[in-house]
Amino acid sequence: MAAITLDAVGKRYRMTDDDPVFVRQLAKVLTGRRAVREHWALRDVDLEVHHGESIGVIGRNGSGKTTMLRLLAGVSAPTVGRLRVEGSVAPLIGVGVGFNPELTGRENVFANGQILGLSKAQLTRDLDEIVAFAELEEFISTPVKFYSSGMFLRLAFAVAIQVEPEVLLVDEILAVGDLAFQLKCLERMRELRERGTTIVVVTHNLGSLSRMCDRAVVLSHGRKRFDGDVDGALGAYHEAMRDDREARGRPALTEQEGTELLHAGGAEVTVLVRDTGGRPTAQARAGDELVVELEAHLDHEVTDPIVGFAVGHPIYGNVYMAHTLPGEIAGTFGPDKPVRATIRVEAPQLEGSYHVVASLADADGSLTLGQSRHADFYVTTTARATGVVDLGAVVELDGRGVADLRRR
Amino acid sequence: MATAAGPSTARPVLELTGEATPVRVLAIDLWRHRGLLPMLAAKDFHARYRSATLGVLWSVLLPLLQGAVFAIVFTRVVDIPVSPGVSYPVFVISGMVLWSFLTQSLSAGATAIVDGGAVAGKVYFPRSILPAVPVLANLVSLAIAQASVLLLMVVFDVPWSATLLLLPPAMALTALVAVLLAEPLALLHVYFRDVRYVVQAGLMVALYASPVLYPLDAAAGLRPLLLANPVSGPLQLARFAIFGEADAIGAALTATSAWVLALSAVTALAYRRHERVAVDRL
Repeated sequence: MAAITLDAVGKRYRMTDDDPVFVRQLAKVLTGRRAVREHWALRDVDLEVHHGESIGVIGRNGSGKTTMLRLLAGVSAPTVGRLRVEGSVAPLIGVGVGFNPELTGRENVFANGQILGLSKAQLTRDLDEIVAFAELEEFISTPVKFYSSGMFLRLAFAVAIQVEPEVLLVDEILAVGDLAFQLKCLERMRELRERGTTIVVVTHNLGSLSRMCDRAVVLSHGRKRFDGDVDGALGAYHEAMRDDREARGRPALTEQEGTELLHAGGAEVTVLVRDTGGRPTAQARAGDELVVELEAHLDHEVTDPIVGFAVGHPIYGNVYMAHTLPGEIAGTFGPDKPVRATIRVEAPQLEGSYHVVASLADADGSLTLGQSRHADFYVTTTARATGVVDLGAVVELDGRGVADLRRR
Repeated sequence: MATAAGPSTARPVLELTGEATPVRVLAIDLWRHRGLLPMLAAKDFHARYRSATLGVLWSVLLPLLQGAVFAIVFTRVVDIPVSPGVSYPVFVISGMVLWSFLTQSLSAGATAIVDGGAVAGKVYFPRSILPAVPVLANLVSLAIAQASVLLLMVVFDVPWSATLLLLPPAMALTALVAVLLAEPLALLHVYFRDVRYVVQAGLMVALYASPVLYPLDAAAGLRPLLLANPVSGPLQLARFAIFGEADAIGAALTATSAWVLALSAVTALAYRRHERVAVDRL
């Protein structure tokens, strides 16, 4: 039987609208007229995850991801439908759960470990290993309140990864800790995955999804919108975002975020990313050619403007910046004659969320006339690396290759 | 780095629907997590007294002090009639010791699920463990306080006898009543945060509606009410253990047993329905 089965699962939350005026609120409660709103966080979700499978659950905020994780962890129960999880479950969301600042590191290891499902005997046996992993040998008898946040996190994580579950639930893995911590997290997940642990990763950060998961599910407004390979899921995710925008009466995503304008000095700049086939796109493979279209509407005449653009990453900042030189774009533009330029670029070499921003400046580059909003796109790659540039590492041992981290 | 947990004999299966959880499943879950209660209680105990220099002594000192005040007021200012062979100071202090244990346990227990929300919202374990945690943790101070009652007996010339062996059962029964009262209240508190204050108010009133400050027969008209009190059973049992005599001990214990059964049923029914979904309100 499958490791995880969801059968028409729905989860309804009831929310009350409380009146800020105490007497009115009291009257409403007493007369039973308190406003109660119902919200279906999940609706009609069917899902089957097999033993040993790694699956990603993606969706925007409020799409039902966290609710799904809570249900899988058994923290809450569905309102309708049936949910079945086979095997021991451990949430990697449980990092540091139940840590008490007054207690020593050692005491907290035992408390937290047992809450996460480890036995006392197991913890006694593995204590040294946990402490060594957290690099806290000297401080293990110190109350946790004296720890720095880094020490705290290391200890909490060392306990959390000690749990050897059959089903591992991971929430927003890349949202906490520094880079080293995140890498440890990823490494541990890879290890568990190789040993046949079923993994469910819930995220709205699309980073490394394709490296960690065999399959992905897209949730939108509590419903399952897509279930299949990761590439397809990324497409469905962006489609869901576009639909949301349309539903809210905003311009569709195909016109990209760029249509929301910033006025800086007389030019409205929009930017749009297309693939080489001319289709608006929000994803690319590393190294693919992308066509960035810039359009600038002016409210006054400008001669020989300068076009600049930058490709940025949410963590690493701008990874690529370039602009034209004075005179390269020759001519006079104005209210009746917008600037239309296309910029051909190669998609960044490593996986991640990127954005492109374009701007228009006057002839000597001293005055920015307008800058576009971010146009987001996502890059996938087969390279086993993170960062900004692909340095194409190959690991050898005794002259023989053991790991090829290059893009294939 | 982690070592394998070893193949579990029976692979646990989590099955959830919108229906209420059968009591059998609740019981199995509770059994599977049986190690958590003593661990959480020990943690609660350590964390509470860690930074206080006098530590656990505070929780012992307070009921003794309160009992001493009552002992002075009700012998010097107002006279409370106790049986001839009974020392009022020992009578009231032994009562206060149990009462203060109940008060502390119940006020912490009734809010335990909300207070433990940060943990309960992230990891599953039977929520019914939470209200029992402060009760178990407070048993330590209760035991120390009872030991001081034994010393007081020497001071006030109350002879030690074999009936003292009934003191631990009296303590255990008080703890049971405290847990069973805390369980449904803690769940109710998730939905109605007023419960915290209702409990405080109730406990304040209930002190005077229990045979703590005066013996059962001193309150002629209130006797049935005092007897129906869930803590009358353990209180009378403790008095019997100390003085070798107690009024209507059979009736009081019967009433307490009835309470225990009723509260168990209420607890089971409440947790059947709300055990898991209560955290949605945290």
